[in-house]
Amino acid sequence: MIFNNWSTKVPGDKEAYEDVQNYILENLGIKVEVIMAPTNGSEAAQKLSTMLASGEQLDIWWGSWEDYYKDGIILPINQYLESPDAQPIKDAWDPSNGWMNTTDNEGNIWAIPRMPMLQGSPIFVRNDWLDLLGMEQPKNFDELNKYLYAIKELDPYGNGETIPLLLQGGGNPVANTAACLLGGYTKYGQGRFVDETDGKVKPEYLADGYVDFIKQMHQWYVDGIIHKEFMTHATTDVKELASSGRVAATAVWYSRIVGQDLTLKEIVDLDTSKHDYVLGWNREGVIGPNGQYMQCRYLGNRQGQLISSKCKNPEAAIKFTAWAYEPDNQRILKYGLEGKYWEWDPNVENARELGAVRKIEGAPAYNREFDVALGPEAERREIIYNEDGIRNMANIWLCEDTADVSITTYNPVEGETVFDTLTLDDVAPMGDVNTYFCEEIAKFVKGDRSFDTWDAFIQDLYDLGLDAYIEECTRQYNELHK
Amino acid sequence: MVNEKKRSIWYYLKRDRFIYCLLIPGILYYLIFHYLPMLGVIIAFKDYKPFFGLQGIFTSQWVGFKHFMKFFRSAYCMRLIKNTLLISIYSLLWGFPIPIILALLINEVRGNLFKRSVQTISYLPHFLSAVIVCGIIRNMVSVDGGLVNAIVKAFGGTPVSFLSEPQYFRTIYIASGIWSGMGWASIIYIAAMAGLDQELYDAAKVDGAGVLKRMWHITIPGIMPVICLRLILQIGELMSVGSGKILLLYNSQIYSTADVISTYVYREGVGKMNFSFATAIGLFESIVSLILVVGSNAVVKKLGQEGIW
Repeated sequence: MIFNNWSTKVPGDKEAYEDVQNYILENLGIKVEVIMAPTNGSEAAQKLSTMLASGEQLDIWWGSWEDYYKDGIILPINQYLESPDAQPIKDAWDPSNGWMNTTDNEGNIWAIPRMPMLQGSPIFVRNDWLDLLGMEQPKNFDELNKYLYAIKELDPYGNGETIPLLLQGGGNPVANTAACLLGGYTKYGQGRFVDETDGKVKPEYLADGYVDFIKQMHQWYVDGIIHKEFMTHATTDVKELASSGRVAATAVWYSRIVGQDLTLKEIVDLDTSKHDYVLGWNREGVIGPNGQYMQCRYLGNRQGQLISSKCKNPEAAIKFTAWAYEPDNQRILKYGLEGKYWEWDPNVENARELGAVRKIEGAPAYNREFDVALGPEAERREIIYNEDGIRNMANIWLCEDTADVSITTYNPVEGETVFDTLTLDDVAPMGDVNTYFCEEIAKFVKGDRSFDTWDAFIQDLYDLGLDAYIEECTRQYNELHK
Repeated sequence: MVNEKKRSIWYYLKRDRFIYCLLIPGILYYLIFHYLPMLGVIIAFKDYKPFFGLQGIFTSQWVGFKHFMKFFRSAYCMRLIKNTLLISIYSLLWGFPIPIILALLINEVRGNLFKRSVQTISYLPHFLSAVIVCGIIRNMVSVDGGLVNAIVKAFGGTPVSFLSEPQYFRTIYIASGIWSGMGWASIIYIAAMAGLDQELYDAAKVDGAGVLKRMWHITIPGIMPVICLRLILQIGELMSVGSGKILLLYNSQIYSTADVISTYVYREGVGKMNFSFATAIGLFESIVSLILVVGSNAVVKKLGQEGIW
């Protein structure tokens, strides 16, 4: 039994569900049942907790292995990965990428990874407006900044509604932007780093150059380069603005943007002889004021596919997952059975090679109940083109650009250390420190607090418990790297 | 007059057994869903995780007052309590009289069709989910074409990012709460008014009392027990400002006024699956609420009104 708690879908028709279920049974000899999680995240978490607590026979779900492994809720899966059936999973994941995040310091693997290291926070710049200004895709911060101010001045959308640079806020209002730009200001970009002056592991905001990053955000805020309400913008707001045609450049997580290309093409008069996409990007990366890539490398996370310790047949759970990694099988899990729910698009030449499928009208509704969260390493195998024969922007990003991490700034501490976050939270809880940081950093960006008080701000963080956190991080880091 | 023989309680139970049977579903409901779960309050003193299951309530490790201490030692403890109380008190001050006024006004409307229309329209916002209400609020106060900022601009002002400025949060939260809740809350008063003796109004009219005088001297005293009851119950909820709407509206820029106990518990407790912490704070809120209810009940009785017991 699988709890599909990764995507936000509602169940489709029973007939479609059973068709796919029977297909898996016939081809794999495993009967898979799927429970769809509520679309609301906290409700989904509650339902999962209730199911686990009530002892329901739940075999697979997605989550952070750290939440479960100490209490014996999930199985270490090393032995099951040795099975030949598991080979597609092993083939998909590079040992140095993904597995590290799901393996404890004793070598137990607790989850099949979902997110690898990737390039996920690029800067997209609108191609037609670059043309308008006679500029090229920015190669460095100065060119980017020049473009942003020129666009602000030009206001091509009109009525003062052009947004030169789209950012996303969040609980930590600058974290999303830091992922896109901080590598251009501090040596290791986002995440903890070893301070060479005292050998201690510290959070990014204590690194040289961090305050310059915040000063730049403040300058953009004052000059109207970024939206006055960006700190309140959630993912849906960002997507809405990105597809509105008002945005000249973006510095947010890539998936917020790449899915908007087809909508943008409907409202933007793009010279398709010159550009494939409305929002373009520099495949050579963008260099920051410190001479490094501005974009920080996404280092994956502890999330993955977990197998319950109550699972009666872990081999079957692994076998199904490995089967799902194959592109042909993935297509079944995504769209349903070929010939009944979808067909290769007859209007597209080489549709099979191009991955162009179209829905069959009148088929029962299949809402991807069995489309489980395997992550980019599995999903990268399917190539999709738009109707105009141009490679789908979301697909090219997923398959190619996200995999190119060479144009990002890498943080070795975060990339090569699995901190015990539960112990950290127990020994040095950061609730108050984080609350204070988020609250005050917003004031610095908006200009409600003077940068003259930056040192006092840092001292306040220490007073709230940052020193205990640094000590524990350093202890764990030294323990792991001795 | 017949001197009825005093009989034991068992006699009455046996005689009216079928009527008493009707009580069973209600009693079972409260026992199963309200009293039995109270046992779970012990997880406030333990390190419990939800997937431990029911037995985990009893088998998980005792940690004493650890979760309470974590809350009270937080640098933000006093601010959280202050924000919670201020939002509640302002909501009570502004939000409590408005349904009464609305009920008084609706009670005076003579045209039945118009009266029902007004009532229905005023109830509607109650049925909107918090997500929709907050979506409406965000759109209305947005600097990007929001109605409020359009008015500000029309009067020559500069658009304000209302949800980024702490000084506006309470007003937005309370005003939207009044808008969405006043119609529904007025029902109980309208029902109470329907039970008032019509002859009192007729007599007052004969004596020359106008609409306002009749409201003041007949309607309001007539519904005063209901007003007191609702006031006591609302005072009992002073410590429990729900997190749902605030989580949808707040951000770190306005923590200074918007961060309340329930949002803190959401971040530090529910968000990290630390249900023991969430229960500990819930227990603290409940104890304070109980004191408030008992206190306000005593005050109401001192003032000569009916309490809730």
